[in-house]
Amino acid sequence: MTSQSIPLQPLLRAATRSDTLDFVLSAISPQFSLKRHMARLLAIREECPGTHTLLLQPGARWGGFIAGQHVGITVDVNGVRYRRTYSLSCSPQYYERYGHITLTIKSVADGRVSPRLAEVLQVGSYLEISAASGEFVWQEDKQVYTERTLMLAAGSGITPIRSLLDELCESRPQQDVVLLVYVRHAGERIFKQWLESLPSQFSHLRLEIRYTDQEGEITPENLLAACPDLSERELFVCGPQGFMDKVRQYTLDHGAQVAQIHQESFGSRPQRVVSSGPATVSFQKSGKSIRSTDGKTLLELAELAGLSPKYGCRSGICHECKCQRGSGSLIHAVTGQPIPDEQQQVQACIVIPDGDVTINSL
Amino acid sequence: MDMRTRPLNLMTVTELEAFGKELDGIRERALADLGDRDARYIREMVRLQKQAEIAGRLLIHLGRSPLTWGAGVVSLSVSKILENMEIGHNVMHGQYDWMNDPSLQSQSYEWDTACDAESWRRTHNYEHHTYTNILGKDRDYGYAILRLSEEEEWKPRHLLQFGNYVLLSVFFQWGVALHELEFDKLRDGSVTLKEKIPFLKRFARKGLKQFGKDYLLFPALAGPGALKVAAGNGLANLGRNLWASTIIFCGHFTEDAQVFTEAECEGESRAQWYYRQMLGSSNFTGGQWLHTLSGHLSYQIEHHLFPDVPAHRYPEMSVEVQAVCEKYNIPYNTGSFGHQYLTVLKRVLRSSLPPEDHPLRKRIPFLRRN
Repeated sequence: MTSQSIPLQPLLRAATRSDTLDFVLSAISPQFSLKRHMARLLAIREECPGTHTLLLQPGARWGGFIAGQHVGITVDVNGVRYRRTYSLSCSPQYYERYGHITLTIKSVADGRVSPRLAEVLQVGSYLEISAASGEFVWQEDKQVYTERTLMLAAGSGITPIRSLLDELCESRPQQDVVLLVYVRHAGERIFKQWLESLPSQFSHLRLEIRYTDQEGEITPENLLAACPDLSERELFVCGPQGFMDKVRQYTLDHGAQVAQIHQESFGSRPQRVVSSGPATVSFQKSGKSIRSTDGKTLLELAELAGLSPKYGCRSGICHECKCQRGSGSLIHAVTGQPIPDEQQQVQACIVIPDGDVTINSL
Repeated sequence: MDMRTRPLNLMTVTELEAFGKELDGIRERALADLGDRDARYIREMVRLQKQAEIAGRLLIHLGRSPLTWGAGVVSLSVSKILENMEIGHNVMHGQYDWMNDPSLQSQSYEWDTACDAESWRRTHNYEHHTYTNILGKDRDYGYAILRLSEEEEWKPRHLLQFGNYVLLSVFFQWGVALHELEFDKLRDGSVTLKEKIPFLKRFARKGLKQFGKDYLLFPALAGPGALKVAAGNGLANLGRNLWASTIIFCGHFTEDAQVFTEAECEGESRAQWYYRQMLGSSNFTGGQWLHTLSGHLSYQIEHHLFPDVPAHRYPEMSVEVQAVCEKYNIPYNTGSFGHQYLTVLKRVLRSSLPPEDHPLRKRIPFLRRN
């Protein structure tokens, strides 16, 4: 038999999909897994109360990243698997040199995952990370803007900016950079030493740290005073949504173009809207939508919208009608309890939309 | 003998409502407590199952003596039993969906048996769990092959049903895989073969995959030992088939497990559904190994009351369920594994005989009763 006559490729493909093979490989080392990227947690460092930096060593198959990108990490908290996305706070050069990456994570006060990370994660253990992604990166093709840069960071929004600046420091230390950092007070300042060392590493960098508890929030006036030529700079903005919305508005008012502004959303997502009257349920796959009315279940609404989703018992027993929630809150029709936000697969026959909801799988 | 010793309407409306609330309470308390313990348990089961599978296949392939080969067969069979019963069946009920672990999601899980998971979710999770023991609605009741109660019409072919029962047990995974074909309905013409083509395609795809794995791929990997491996895999499958069939028959076909008519279940409330699940299911007792290897279907009553609660919690929930049964004077059908299985065999045999008033009874001497 020649090697051509053996269907090697399909066999290999089947083998790489095999759970049992992955089980054996993972038993040798978690980083041998063909299905997941496992990173070894080397250290956890406290930056300031409530903010920690994780030092991670990804496996050899992990594809690296571009400065400013983020990665997803998977964490089990009380049996439930959560996926959270955090910005990398180191440069790609650092990763090339040491094989390590850093993620800097600020605890969200009422969060399910971030406040418990330091307690759940154990140094020396492995956690699943995703490939890096994100568009908050240097735009090499737009030379006109990369001459001068304005960076605005609020709170933990400094993390991807550190990655961007660390890279810039190696490639173009002569770049003209204005960096405005907004923190509530000195106790919440992260990367203190790094910030102090920055001006000595760049020839044209101006750094201003604003303590909003004393100096107040960002205003169009103080922004323009700090950087009068902002409309001629490429802008990188990272912080809570409210902060970014303001910066975007002020800079557009001062003549900046949309294409100049790069922003990275940070912090907790907007609070969910408590329902007041009917809301809209949107079905992403079919593109249909319907106004939700008086306590109708998701399954009934989908059918009213003209869809024919799979179902069985229609009473919450059989799980045949499970569909994937994109966003929005749902309540259990029998118990009246909210369905936890992290639960993406929901039983359509027994949940009622509470405000606007999107369903991906229908 | 009357299987329906207890009609469905013995409780007052108020009693029934309170009874339903108590069971809802047991369920909600268990769900509120879900956490690390359950995650650790199911992952430990997955780890055990994989180890047993790897050990089994290695022993079957590499073992030089009949003893190591036999140990491999047992280990592979145990792995298949764990995968099908404690992992696959329970995961596909949605018991671990709350963990958000993609490898343990009910709607995407595929198990190591000939039955296509999608087909199983429809016929088992929906039809069997919703219409448990309703004659004509629950197609798991006797699998359209066996007559198991006096309520069903007797036909001469039932005389040989014990043989059919043995055959069903031996080829159980294929019987389950073909369940959705609804052979009985094809025969009487209420469904056509054409309607079943999508199902047959899925059946063929999954069946070939399973057959290819155990009888072509692994034997081929063994080269000259191919026959030894195919035979070992076959025996491991047989062991799993007999075990699964036996456990499942003990769940609904013991002597006192009741049957219901469509009419009496019409428009039933959630509390009535609970009540019917209790009367139609039966438990058996035994050591921890027996509960684990049965996928905790030894707690069939609790499984039917709370099909999407992690099964390893049934033992602790059963204490509360039994207290409810006592309070509302509802029978709780349990006994030793051996005893319960014996009543199953008796029921299969007794139901193969014509009813008392059937003319055949008078003609065949040994069927005459004094």
